[in-house]
Amino acid sequence: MPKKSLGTLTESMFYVLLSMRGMSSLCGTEIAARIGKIGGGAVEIGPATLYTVLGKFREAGYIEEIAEEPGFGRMRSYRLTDLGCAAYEKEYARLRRCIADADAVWNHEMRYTDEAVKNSDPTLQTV
Amino acid sequence: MKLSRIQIPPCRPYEINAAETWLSDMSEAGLHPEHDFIFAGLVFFERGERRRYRYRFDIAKRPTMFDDGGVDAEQQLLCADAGWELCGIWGDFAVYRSPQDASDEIPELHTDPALHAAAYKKVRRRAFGSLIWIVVLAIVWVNMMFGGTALLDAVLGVGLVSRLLSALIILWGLYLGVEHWFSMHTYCRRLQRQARGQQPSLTEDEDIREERRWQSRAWHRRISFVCSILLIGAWLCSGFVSFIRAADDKNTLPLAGNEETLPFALMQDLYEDCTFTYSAMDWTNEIRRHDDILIPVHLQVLQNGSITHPDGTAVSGGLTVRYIETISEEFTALLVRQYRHSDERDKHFGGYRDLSPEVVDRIASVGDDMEVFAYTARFPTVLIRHGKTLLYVNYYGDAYTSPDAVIFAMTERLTAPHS
Repeated sequence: MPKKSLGTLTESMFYVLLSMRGMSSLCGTEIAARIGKIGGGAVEIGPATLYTVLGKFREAGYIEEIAEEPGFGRMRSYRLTDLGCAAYEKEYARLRRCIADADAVWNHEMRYTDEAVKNSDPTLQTV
Repeated sequence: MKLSRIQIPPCRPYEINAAETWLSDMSEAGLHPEHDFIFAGLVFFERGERRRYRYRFDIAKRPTMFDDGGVDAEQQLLCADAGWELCGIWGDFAVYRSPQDASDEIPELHTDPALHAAAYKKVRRRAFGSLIWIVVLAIVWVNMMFGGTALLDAVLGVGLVSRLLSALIILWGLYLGVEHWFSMHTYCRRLQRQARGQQPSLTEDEDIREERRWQSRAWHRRISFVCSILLIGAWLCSGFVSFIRAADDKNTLPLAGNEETLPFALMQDLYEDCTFTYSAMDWTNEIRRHDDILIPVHLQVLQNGSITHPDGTAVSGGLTVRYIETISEEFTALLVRQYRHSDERDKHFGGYRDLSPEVVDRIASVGDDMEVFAYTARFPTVLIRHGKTLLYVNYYGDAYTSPDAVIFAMTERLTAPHS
């Protein structure tokens, strides 16, 4: 059971979940490398940030540790839990909704001039 | 590389930006922190090639009973794989570095201000926890000194200087605790504003000013470091000196051979025409001195023996007198209150005795600055304050059935001019 909900995920958190989707297990370094690859170099995650995210996800039950090599040089491996998948899906849906809203406004504005938009739909004046 | 310089840090570890910049500047000057570079608040550098490094701080675990603290193995491996070398632990932080010229390939240690702030809130909580402990300690100290009997214990025990220095150390700890918490609070707020996109980006000039802040405070920090070391040293020395003085025989003299006129009465002064014989036990007839800065005169007399009256009857008994002259009347009054408080807590406290009309008249004739209390606390006790002087008298034996004789003799000596 998660101790507390993490609420809206930050970009780093979202990318960690994204990088772990469909993977049987990943260690921290692999996660960082996959994020770099997925983001095409535009998204990078610092090691301290990654460590914080993994700690929070472990605490929230979004990921689970599946192996640990003994000794000081150990690197834990993790996999996504059902809870983590659900969190990813929820965040994905939220981002899709944001994009859809943005698209709708953009398309609407493209069809009308600024003045026509303001006259025809007062709610769009604040956009 | 070899050890080439030890420095007092010009900033505290929780002044994160300043500390990071200072370490970078030192590396640029060819001084690189050794592995585990902090010891006793000093930073140990090795001389090497001049190279610009980026130094970054991350939260480290505090040592506990079950854990050595420091950096988690996974945390260190993640950083090492990303190109960040662990230099050591400084306060609550693990200090990492990476070459400045590789900053294109090596990502920043922290890339998410929201998560960075969340992680540093732990340090802020620790700072708050430490602050609470120091506040509790300060409250207990104040309560003990002025509400309980600690001031009296200090006078009778380790000495006031030692206690006052301990007060300064607590105050210093309080100041550092507040500063620690406030620095972390400000830093977390700044990160949170950055995460919300509310932190305006700094101009180049502001950026430089922010980074160079360690230089403007360097002397202040170094002087305060030296002062704190001196304070702790003075505190340890004062305790040691008190211990040595207490153990020193020079401050203890036999009462039998004393020719000094004491400012209080002894057993032979209580009755007219009597002769006093000291008991055979030397250690029960002594004068001890415990002078202190705030208590210029502090004598303790132990007397034990027998009084023989002119009719040949003899009674035996003993007297212990503590004579204290402080630097102010208020201080003496405070000690009187603490003596009474201390004796009232004694399970053998027998309650106060009403003073006889003669004693009341005698006190009234002296003036307003005399207080007299008579009670039984294990032994019959008389407590007298006269201005800055305090006299605490215990007596025992079959010679004293009433405190009147003691009070009369003592007050007479106290108020008489004496050398």
